[in-house]
This record gives sequence, C-alpha cells and structure tokens, in this order.
Amino acid sequence: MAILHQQDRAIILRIVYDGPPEAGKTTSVKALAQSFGREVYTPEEQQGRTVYFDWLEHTGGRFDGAPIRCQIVSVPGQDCWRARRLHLLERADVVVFVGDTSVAAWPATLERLQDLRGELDRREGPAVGLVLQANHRDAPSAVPLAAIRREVDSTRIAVIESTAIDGTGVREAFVFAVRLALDRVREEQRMGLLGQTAVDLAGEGLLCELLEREAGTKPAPSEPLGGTRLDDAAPIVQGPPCVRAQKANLPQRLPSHDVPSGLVWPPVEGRIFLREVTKTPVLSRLTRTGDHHGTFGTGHRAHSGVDAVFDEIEEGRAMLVAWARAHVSAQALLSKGRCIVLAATGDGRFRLWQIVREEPSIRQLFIGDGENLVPRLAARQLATASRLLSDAQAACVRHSITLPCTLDTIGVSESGQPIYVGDVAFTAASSDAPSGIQIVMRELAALAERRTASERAELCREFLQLQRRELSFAQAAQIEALVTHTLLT
Amino acid sequence: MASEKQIQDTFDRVAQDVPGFVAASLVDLESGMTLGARSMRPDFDLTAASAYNSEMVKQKLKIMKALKLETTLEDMLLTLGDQIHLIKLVSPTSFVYLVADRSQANLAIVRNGVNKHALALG
Repeated sequence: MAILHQQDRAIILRIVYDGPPEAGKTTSVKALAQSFGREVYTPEEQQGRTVYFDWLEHTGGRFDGAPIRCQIVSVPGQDCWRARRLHLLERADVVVFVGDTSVAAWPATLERLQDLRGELDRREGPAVGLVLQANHRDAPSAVPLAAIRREVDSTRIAVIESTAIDGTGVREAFVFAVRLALDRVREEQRMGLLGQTAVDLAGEGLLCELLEREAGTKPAPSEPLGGTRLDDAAPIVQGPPCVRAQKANLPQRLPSHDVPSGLVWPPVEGRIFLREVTKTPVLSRLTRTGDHHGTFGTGHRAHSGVDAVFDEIEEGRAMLVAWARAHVSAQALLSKGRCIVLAATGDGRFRLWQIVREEPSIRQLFIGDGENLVPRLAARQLATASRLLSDAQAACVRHSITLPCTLDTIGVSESGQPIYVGDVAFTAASSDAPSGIQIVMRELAALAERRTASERAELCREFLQLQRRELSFAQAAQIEALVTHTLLT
Repeated sequence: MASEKQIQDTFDRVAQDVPGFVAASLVDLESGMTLGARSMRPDFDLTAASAYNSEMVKQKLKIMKALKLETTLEDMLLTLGDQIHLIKLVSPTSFVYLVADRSQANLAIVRNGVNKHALALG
C-alpha cells in the first residue's frame, strides 16, 4: 500500500523486484542505482546471494504535485527464504518480476511467475501491477518473445525485455512499473486507503521490521477489498476544428496504453492489458450503423458504438464510470481479458472503447452452420448448448446481471461453466429476452427444416433422451412438449 | 520505446550539435520519471528538474484544454538569465527536456539541435 509522507507530502511507493534465484534481480537494482547515481544497501549476502533484500531509494517524478519517493526492494530468490520473500511482497505497490528467459531456465521462471501471480491475486485491495522483466535476452538460447507472451497471461502481465548486466531495458521496466503503481495510488486515494507516515523508513528500518516479524512479534498487514477507480486525467491535445466534422466519420486509431491514468478500467491491469494487446497502431473499421470495430493481431477485438463519442471528457468519464460499474456487477459471468478505455478521437472529442479477447461462442463451438451435424451429435450438442444457456441465464438472475444470453454471446470457460463472450452494451438488456430453451428450440426448428421426417424423428428422440438425463422432471416435460412441437409438426 | 543506451547516444549527438549543452533527459509525462538522462554538470539536479517540468507540461495542457485551443503542444521554450530550457514533446506520453548555456547557444540552435534528433526518441 502506498503511503503519503506527512512532512514533505511525498508519495512513497514500494517497488519490489521478485524472481527465481540468479535471474538478475540484484543486478537490475544495481543497474538502476548506477543510473540514478546512488548506492544499494544489502544487509547480508551469502556467496554473492541476497539473504534479506537489496534496498535502493530514488526520489524522482511528481504525482499530482507531490514528489514520488520510490523504495526499490529486491527479495531473496532462494526457496529457503520464501516466507521472507512473501513478507516483502506484501507491501508491494507493483512487482517487477525478473525472469531468466534462457531455454534451460524458462520452465522454472514460468513456475515461479505463476506462483507470484497466485500470491498477488490473493491480495485484497486494488490490483497490484506485475511487470515481467524478461532478462538474459542476450543469451543465444533465449526463448523467443512471442513464445514468452504466449505462455504468460500477457494481458495481465506487462513484458519488457532486458539484459540487466548492461542495463538494457531495466530503466524502461522500472518507469512502467512506477506508472502502474501510480494507477494503484489513484485507486487507493479514491477508496480512502492511502496511509500516512511520519517515519522515514530506510533499508535498516526494513531490516528491523523483517527481523521483528520473523521473531513473531508483528502481524501481517491487511487491506480492504478494492473496486474501480476513475480519476483526474491529463487533458488531451485536440485537433483543428476544420477537420473535426470529417474525422468523426473516418476510421480511427484504436486506443493504446498511452491513455492518461484514470481513463482505463480496470485501473492497473487495464494499462498492462492495453500495453500487451495494442502493440501496433491499428485503424478501426466503420460500419454502416456508425460503430467502430477493429481487431488486433493478438486475438482481441475493439468496439465503440455510434453513441460512444463525447464532446467533453467529463461526459465520457461519467459514462466510463457507469460502464465500469456494469462490468463489475457482471463479473461473475464476464469472460476474462477485457478492458474499457476513453481515448481522444483526434478531433477534440473522446470515444469509449471496449477491448475484448476473442473467445468462441456456443454457436461457434457446438452448432456452426448445422449442415454437417448428424442427428445423434446434433442432439448432444444442442443439449449442451441448452444447458449452458440455461445456466448463464440462471447466473444472471442470481447476480442481478442484465446481459443478453444468446448462442452468440455465451461461451464456455475452461472449467465448463458458461461465460459471457460478447460485447457489453451501454444499456441493460431487455428483460423479455427469450429463455435459453426457447433459443435452442429456434435453432432446432431451423435445423429440422433441412432434414427429412425420419431424421427429424431421430433428432427428437436423441434430444429428449439427453435432456431427461440432464434436467429435472418439470423442465424435461416442458422441453418434451417444445421439441415435439418443433420437430414433429 | 528507445532503450536507455539509445537515449544516451541520442543525447550525445544533441550535445555535439548544441554548443553550451548542459543536460538533457527524456521524461515520462505521467509520472515525471526520467527514462534516460545526460548531464555535463553534476550540480544540476536533472531528476528534480525533469519531475517539476512534467508538472508544468501537464498544467500547460490543462490551460490549452480550458481555453478550448484545438491544437497540439509542440514545445516550450524558457529563457533564463544564463540558461535556455527547451521542452519538446516527442510522443503523447514523453518529452525531451534540454538545458543549454545561454552565453554559448541561442533559441534557434537549441531547437534545431533537438528537433534533428528527437524523432528517434518518440
């Protein structure tokens, strides 16, 4: 948790360098120290390995007028110091994970990164940003960057290449980490979680704290649950008025991670997501309805509706807040890998975008065009589709979610549960939407039209058999009537 | 984004082109953190200067917004008694901050020297 210093009103950020042993954590901190012209404090080393931590302080940058004081801490990497490492991670405002990306070390790096991801996900409060400083890029056997991105969930982890030994990429990773930490500070400010201190903690102080804790005298800090944060943003440069009218109807550059703080949701992970997804500038495609669509080469799509453009940033931000709340309330059903962002249009206005990872829908997974389905298979797949739609609609009722559940908007999670894979609209879905069963019946009817009478009868039998096994008696009876009506008339 | 080494190499070239070069940094506008810096004078606190100047750029952008000036901010020139300070925006999120000795350089030379190399940092 970031802290505000009472005397000089400085924002104190804790930037923790984590990673497996000998991945380059200490080397990175030392490279930063050299770059800042400062000394690293290391309480103890054993055979060149960190035992407690490395400590470096750097004051630089400003946040809403306040100086930023960075406490840069690297953890001991060896497994025997795990408890110590976890304690040091508890106060992190952002974590730079230094990973050895040579082929031999990559599996251990990935395992450790997943362990860290789990630890950070368990933390309450606003999300803690995570930067993977992919180190040892000078090694001849370094894992290709594309493979690294594939294997880490790079929409939640920013990946920056480095060769810590000569300092390449170290500063870049650090500055991006500071930006993520500041996103988190904004969120903490909004939630009233920003603590205050009159103490100037130095490396020696952290060592005392650590030793006291290990002697069993100090409880672990805890933080309340976080929500969404959308705060002050830097103004955005506007284009000349003469081109303003024209630009509204032109393809637009899709948003990138350069958007100011406070204009992206979720607050910390949204920026990481944008950084990893929007690697190259892409122009949107304008539809006849005035909506903007775009796809990135990373398996993500962007959409902005015709009504999602605002003359004033405040209007846009108010809608961003409302939309973020809608996302939060629907999180139980929403697919992972999405963010919303308010970006300048280039003509002095602002446009709201949603960027969503492409996931297959039930229709794509189970139905396709329906032409090649044999009755037995079709029945099984329609039954699965029906079950998923019903479960999705039940989840909507349970969590008061108003999302349209259709064959095109619902998909399946890895655990077999329904997830919403469509775009989230500004306005709530109509409450008189057809039920899951009704939707599947419609599909059945379309399929039946193209079948012979005997095929229809077979489809009917198979479908009813499966439904009886999977559903309650009352539901099965209702379906039986519907199926009979759909297929046999 | 340019690496720290590329940034320093760029500033070396700027220093060659700008007589009286004192210091230069590439600054992240949002946080005010320097992404790379080069200084000829150890007594000049480039880190602090970069941070304060990021606040100034943000204020200027706010002023432009308040005045509904529908244009872009390219650079800011500040003339001190013995120094020239130039702030050149090289991307929506970063700017170059350069300080030169006024007795050896003039505004045109400084601006030209930075513009010649700034694109490499965007």
